[in-house]
Amino acid sequence: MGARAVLAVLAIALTGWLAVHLTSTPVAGLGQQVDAHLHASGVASPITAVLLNFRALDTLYEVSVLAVALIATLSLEPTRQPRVPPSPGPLLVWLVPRLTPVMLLLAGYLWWAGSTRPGGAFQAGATIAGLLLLLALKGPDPGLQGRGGHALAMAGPLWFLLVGSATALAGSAFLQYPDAWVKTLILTVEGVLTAAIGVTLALLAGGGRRQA
Amino acid sequence: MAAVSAAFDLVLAALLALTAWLALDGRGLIRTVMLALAFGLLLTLAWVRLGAADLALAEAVLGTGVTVVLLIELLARLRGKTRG
Repeated sequence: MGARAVLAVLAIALTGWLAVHLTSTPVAGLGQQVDAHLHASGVASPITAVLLNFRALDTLYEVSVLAVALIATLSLEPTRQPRVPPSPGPLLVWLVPRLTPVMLLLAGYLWWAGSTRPGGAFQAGATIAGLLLLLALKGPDPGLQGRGGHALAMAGPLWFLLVGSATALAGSAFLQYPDAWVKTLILTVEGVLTAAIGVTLALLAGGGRRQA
Repeated sequence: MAAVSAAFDLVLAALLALTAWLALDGRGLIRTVMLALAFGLLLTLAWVRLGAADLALAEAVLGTGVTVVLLIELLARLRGKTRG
């Protein structure tokens, strides 16, 4: 009780101070500069422009961290007891076949809409991961726990790295997209990332390897 | 209309604080994980109210799907080990 109360008081005090401080003094962030250069980024959404163009290197780092986390999880010893999934109840049996096309459509839409409105690779990838987990619960097994699934998970950061290396070899800086290809490159990177993130999250949550 | 949204925001903030307080109770692992799940969902609503749709989508995935699913799986394996 004591530790909780101390933490609560500290948290509320910090939040209150931040709320007062941030709303009283006008903070000039980088939003105006992003908006000023939005036309050159190839996409219409400022968030996607920052994530996939202006700060693309940071996104590359993030997906690499995800890949490393997956490798670390895959390296752990599988548990001795083979996991026997319980037989799916009637709700799952009815729902999953009907949800699958909807979720695939939603993931495709989120990937495409990410260039103009909230969406993008991570959100679409998360939808795919949810779908894969539902399939793991209900069956049939999507079969992504072997080498194919692992390769797909690594394809995201690898393709991103490839695009960056190609731009570097072509004479520009690393990940400096040539003007004519900006939107296409961003969309392909996001597309591969969608699949990779979906498989990575599903493998992380559902168990990386087939149990022995 | 502004009064309704302000009241909604206040209730949401209070619920966030309350869920966090209850989750740190330490009375049971399952209880803590479930409250962490509730906190993640409430935080998703908070991001929507703050106008950050991308963050809300990411929070819905990470705060509920990844962290809670991993925690529940951990709990299940711990129980299996203590029983078998």
